[in-house]
Amino acid sequence: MWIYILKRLLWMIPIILGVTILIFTIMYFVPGDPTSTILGASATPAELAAKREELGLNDPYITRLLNYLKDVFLHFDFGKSYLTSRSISLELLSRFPRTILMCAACIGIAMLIGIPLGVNAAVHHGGAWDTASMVLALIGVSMPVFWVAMLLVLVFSLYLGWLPSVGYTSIQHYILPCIANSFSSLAMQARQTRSSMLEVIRSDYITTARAKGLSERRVVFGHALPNALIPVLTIAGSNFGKMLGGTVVIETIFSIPGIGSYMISGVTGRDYPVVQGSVIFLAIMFGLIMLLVDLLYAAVDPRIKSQYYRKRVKG
Amino acid sequence: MSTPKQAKAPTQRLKKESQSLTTFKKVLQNKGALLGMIIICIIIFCAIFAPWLSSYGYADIDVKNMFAKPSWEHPFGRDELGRDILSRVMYGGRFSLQIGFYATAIALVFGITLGSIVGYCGGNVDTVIMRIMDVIQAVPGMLLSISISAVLGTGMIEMAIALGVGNIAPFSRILRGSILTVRKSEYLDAARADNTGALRMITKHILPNSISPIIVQATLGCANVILIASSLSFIGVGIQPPNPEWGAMLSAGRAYIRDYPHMLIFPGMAIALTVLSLNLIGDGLRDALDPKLKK
Repeated sequence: MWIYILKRLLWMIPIILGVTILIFTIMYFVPGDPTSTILGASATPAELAAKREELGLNDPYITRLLNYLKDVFLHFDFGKSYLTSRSISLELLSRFPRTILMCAACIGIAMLIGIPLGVNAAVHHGGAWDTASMVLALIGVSMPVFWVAMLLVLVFSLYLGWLPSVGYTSIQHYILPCIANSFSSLAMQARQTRSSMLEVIRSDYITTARAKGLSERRVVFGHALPNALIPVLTIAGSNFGKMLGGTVVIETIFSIPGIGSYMISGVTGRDYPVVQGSVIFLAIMFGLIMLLVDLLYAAVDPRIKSQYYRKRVKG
Repeated sequence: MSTPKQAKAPTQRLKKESQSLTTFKKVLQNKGALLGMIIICIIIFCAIFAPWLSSYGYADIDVKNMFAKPSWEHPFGRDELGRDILSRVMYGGRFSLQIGFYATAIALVFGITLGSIVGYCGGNVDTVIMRIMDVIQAVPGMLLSISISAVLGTGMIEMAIALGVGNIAPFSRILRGSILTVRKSEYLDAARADNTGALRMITKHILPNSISPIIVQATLGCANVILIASSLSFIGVGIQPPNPEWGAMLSAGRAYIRDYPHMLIFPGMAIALTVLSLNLIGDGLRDALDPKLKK
């Protein structure tokens, strides 16, 4: 068991390094001269050249990459914004809690509602409840996140006036963004739970459990659900990645100053160190969540545990 | 997938055709998938024949009738420059459908190539390529697409590439997994005993028997690409505003949400319907192709 955890932890290092190199390389090919963004149109060619030298833009690719890696991993320094020349790391850290809390709340909503919906649909397989919740889930998966957000604003802030439509100062401000962002994940969670429950319910040990005379409740919650949870966890993990993408849109719509809206400000302002820093930061966050999911697997799935246990006995 | 019929080489061609035909029939029996096909056909038809179907151009400005509410002449109303929203929605389908199609095609070509190489070779090739895929998949898809489109620019082909790249990794992973399940099959041993070359082995024996999960994934992936493409246009890093792209239209309509909500309803509905129909088809395909669900 510990070997598995250790292996998984060590595997994070090349992944994070790889992601940083990947994003750096993509951003390396961004066309245009950043110095004219920094100094404005009135700068003379000599000033531009001096700035290029100062930023190290004349260095070869590999030198720049190594410098960047060194800054990021040894000093946690993502460089400075071209436009505001403020430290990107500080900016990311100050925005980080909002984004991560929102994602956590969204995952919470998606799992708390999605899993029971899916279980219920699977238990009543083929019935009206099943059909209704799966039609709803399919529609939920198909609606773009920003459209859901705007419809929610339309109904709950403009027509009913219950909740604020923009801002980030109180808990009420986060209700609509969280619902909007968790909407499609919730639907996906319900679909995945249903299909993995259906697969499990057909298996022999469920028939055995029923034959033993266990109550339907015990069969579903004691035998079927724990075994069906593994694919459900995977979906929850990958949903987190989708949600990080979703926050980019949601934060822009609701004017929440999180990492997503920071990144978009970087894209529109051609402020590429900001984009680079935000993407790498979010990808690292995603990596850590996937790590957590894998460790949870090991805790939930006896097969992983026994695999390593057997190895140790043999070795 | 790996039915024993296909082991008989001489009749293989005939059987394969009838198999895809039976799959198609099975998909059509699925009510949801049938509905999805009808919807997507209507949307494709509208997008292709938009110039003939609509009596207004997508860029015809009419300043006197800005923000007109839906009426008989303009069923979807007019936007902030008095343009007919119905024709814009019809033209907009061209962007979303083409981006979805091209991106999926790119992802399929590279995904199938990589997946079959990895699945066939195994060993070190497998380990190295799959570790690279791990790294690419560690970046949330939408963020990767935004980064790539920052480099490539905001045209339609550029967006298709940006969105397609993100799908290569999952496609090749799925194909690899499905190849691994057929790898030990007897018909492959038979082919190997016939001294079949690697390329022929992959294209004639392995792929036909392991391709079905990726067909399902391609349909669902295409739906997802259309969703992300509209999100990118919405936040301003995709297709740019004068073009009638659905996401870009919603982005323009956002400023008028309080007074003219009709500008938001229809483009959003178009996206949702397109994605819904592709999802319905994908689900139908999965049910038709999944041997586990056969009764």
